Amino acid sequence: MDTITLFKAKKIITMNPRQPVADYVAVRDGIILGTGSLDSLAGWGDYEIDNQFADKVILPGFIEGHCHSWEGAAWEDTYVGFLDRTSPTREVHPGLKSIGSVVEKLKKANHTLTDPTTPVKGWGLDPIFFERRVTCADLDQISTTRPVVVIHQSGHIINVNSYVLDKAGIDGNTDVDGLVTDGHGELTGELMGIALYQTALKAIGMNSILDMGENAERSLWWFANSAQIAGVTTVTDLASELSPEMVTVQQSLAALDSYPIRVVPAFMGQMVPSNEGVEKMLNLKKQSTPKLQLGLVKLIVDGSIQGFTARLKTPGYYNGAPNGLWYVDPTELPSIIEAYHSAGLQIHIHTNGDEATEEALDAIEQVLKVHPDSDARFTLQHCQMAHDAHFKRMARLGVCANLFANHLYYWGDQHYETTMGPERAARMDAANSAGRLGVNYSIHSDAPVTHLSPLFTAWCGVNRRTYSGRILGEPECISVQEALHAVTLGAAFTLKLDSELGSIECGKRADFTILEDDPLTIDPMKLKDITVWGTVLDGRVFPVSEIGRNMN
Amino acid sequence: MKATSLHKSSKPPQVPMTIIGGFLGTGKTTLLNHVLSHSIGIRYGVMVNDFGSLAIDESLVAAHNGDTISFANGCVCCAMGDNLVASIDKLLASAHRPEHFLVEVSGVANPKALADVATLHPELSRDLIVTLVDAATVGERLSDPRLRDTIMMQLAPADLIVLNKCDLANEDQLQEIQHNLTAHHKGKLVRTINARLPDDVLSQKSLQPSQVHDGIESDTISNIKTSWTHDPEAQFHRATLDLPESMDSEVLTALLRKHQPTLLRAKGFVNNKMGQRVSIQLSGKRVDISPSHYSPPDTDTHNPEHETPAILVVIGLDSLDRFRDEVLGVNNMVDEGATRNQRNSV
Ligand SMILES: [Zn+2]
Ligand SMILES: [Zn+2]
Repeated sequence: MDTITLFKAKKIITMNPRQPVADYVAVRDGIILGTGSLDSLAGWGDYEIDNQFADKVILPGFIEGHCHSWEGAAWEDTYVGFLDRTSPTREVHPGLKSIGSVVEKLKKANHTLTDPTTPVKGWGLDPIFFERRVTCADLDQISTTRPVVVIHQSGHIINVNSYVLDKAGIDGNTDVDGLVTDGHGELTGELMGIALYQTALKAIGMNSILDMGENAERSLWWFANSAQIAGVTTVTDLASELSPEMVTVQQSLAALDSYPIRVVPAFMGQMVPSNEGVEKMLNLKKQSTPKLQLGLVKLIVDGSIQGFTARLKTPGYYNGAPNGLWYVDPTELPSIIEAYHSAGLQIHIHTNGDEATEEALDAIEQVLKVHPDSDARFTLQHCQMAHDAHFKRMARLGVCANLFANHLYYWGDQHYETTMGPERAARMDAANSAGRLGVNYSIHSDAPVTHLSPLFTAWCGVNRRTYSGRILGEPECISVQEALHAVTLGAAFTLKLDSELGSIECGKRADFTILEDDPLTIDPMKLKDITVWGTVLDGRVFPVSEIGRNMN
Repeated sequence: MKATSLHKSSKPPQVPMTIIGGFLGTGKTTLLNHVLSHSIGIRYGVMVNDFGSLAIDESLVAAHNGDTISFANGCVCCAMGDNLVASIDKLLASAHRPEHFLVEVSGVANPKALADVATLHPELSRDLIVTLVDAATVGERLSDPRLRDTIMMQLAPADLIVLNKCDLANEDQLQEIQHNLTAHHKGKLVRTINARLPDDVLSQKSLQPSQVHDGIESDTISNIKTSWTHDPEAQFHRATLDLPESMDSEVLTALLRKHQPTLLRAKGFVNNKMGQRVSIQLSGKRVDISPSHYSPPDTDTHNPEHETPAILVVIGLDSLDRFRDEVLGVNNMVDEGATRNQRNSV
């Protein structure tokens, strides 16, 4: 019989309502035997006490219910975002507060390159924070002899230097949509839309922004390390094409004891005809393992609010912008949902605007009438504009919400001033209403769109502060306890993993987040600043300080 | 093989790309299958971004030595999905290099976004954007606030609107739909049943000089012959015009641009200002001039009698009378202008 380890902690926050806090947790073979006092755990048999967490706080391992493996690959390039960000190698990259500092950082990156054809690539640019847009003239300061490409925070827009425009044959006479010009009709090098995007990338020999290529393994390690630094033990990858090559890499990593995360990839269900998608996912589901959970399907209904591509109901955008885009034909949505649902596959649906949310709920309701399932756990991802009526319907239909709490901080001011206006900005990502009306909810980062840190996400849900310090809709603030539930058990429920994960209680997997401070007693405004010591996955300890040692 | 024209390009001709848009069920795939089964001698590259219930008949594509690829929904996210440009390049580099691309886009896509791919690609030319609407459902869809703006987005860039399934609506309804659809933009609308478009609508290559000159006498001044046909099913007007040698490409371009709202396609050969024979094409809103690719039969290539005849084939959805008349009138002026220019340059 395997040894029993009793981890002693300053405090164990269990999320088990019958025993909310404890001093010890007993683990055998990666499985939790229970929490409590030495006395209450002694009956399991011989044990060893592990004191390394004696002055630390243990929580159920954080579960990031919506992020992307691109979080790892992104760090192949230079981060030029506005807010501070920690790399998977634990370097802190201070936020760049001016276009000048973006240029300076990319200049440094340029100096490290030896091959004259290698592009200088930046990511995370968010010109919404600057007084003007970035131009070719800015990026030409970095180089005029090699490509310079900077991907915006949204992932949907890129800026390039003149070299790329020349190579791609794009000039002021090019008659396509999405070419941004300045006040004098000059191209600024800002490119939007699939045609410009792909043409520019091709001109510099790149296939796709998301193509990890030969670096797939390193990227997935970095993804894992980003998660580990944030105290996350289970991540989603929402969504993936799940190509056979990518699945093979993920399987080989998951098989390593040293790989510190559990991964739940979702398949982009609308990328192929539904019958093909169903077949593919039913096959993959059979290959599911505890560390690589396969079978989840994701659908995307609309775009993003800050990009004005979310579908809104009347009266639409506060600044009068036209309504956003459907990413799937709303009249086709029921049949796509039906195909996956009736095959027994779980579906998460991206909806940002309230029109998209209603459309998804209509479709789900329609499908459930034909294929009743009281535990399908459809989950609306982002679901940022849902109001009470939507949450009531969701509760009735058994639909979960995963709310984009980080948005409140990152773009809350823009939502208040431009996209939604004050009243609707106050109800964005309305976690308190979701909970009050009986909807199981989680909160998320959508990393790399915002930074991966459930403590920060919890801070957003609790405080609802924007970047400028404005509080958006105080009645929607949730308690720290509720926020911690959302990033543990709440997220586990949306993934149908709550019988194995999400709380520290007998029979569940020994996945823990180890913190230096107690989130339940600290000033809630300091929640995001708590140091993560490390994680435990299946009983194995992963200190943040050792990151990098396990990498091949 | 003998040398052909002096002006023949060394680069392979650009491959036209036609974009077919419209909601699910409007008949996009039916249209594709119809084109594929009726066109002879054109190698199509077919790209499909819609996963509706109806499949492309791949055997039809294969019968033309063409290739079909379906590309994952690139419109969901520019960063996700298959790289459309890479897929196009693969087909262009293949042994079966297509002579024409037909792209069926997803039911909610803006076809213009895909047409832009052709505009930007050096080996492609942007051909028509064809947007289909379903006569039986479009009325209801246009009054649905969820769908109206998407339909309008698809109609706005259309060079040709195909009002399909006209057998499922009565004349009053069709009139009303037609009024609604054309009220907001300048696209040209044709009514169809089973998406049956004439073969020469979707492909420039099929646009051939009319075999039948239907009795309208050639004009003694301009030497223009016209042949008017009115396809009872598809309402297209066609003309084959023998242009006088004095007509140059600049004047013809200006005329085509001016009459673009009436014209759908035009293809012809005419001299440029330097006296070189060039090929001139109009598809939708674009006019392209390129070196003449016409290979005259053997014999002396310098003999003007064996030059590509100065001819223009046009197809439109309205009467072409005004276009023809203006070509006549302008021809007279052009004659004078051209003569004066010649004198000045000597
Ligand atoms: Zn996402
Ligand atoms: Zn995108």
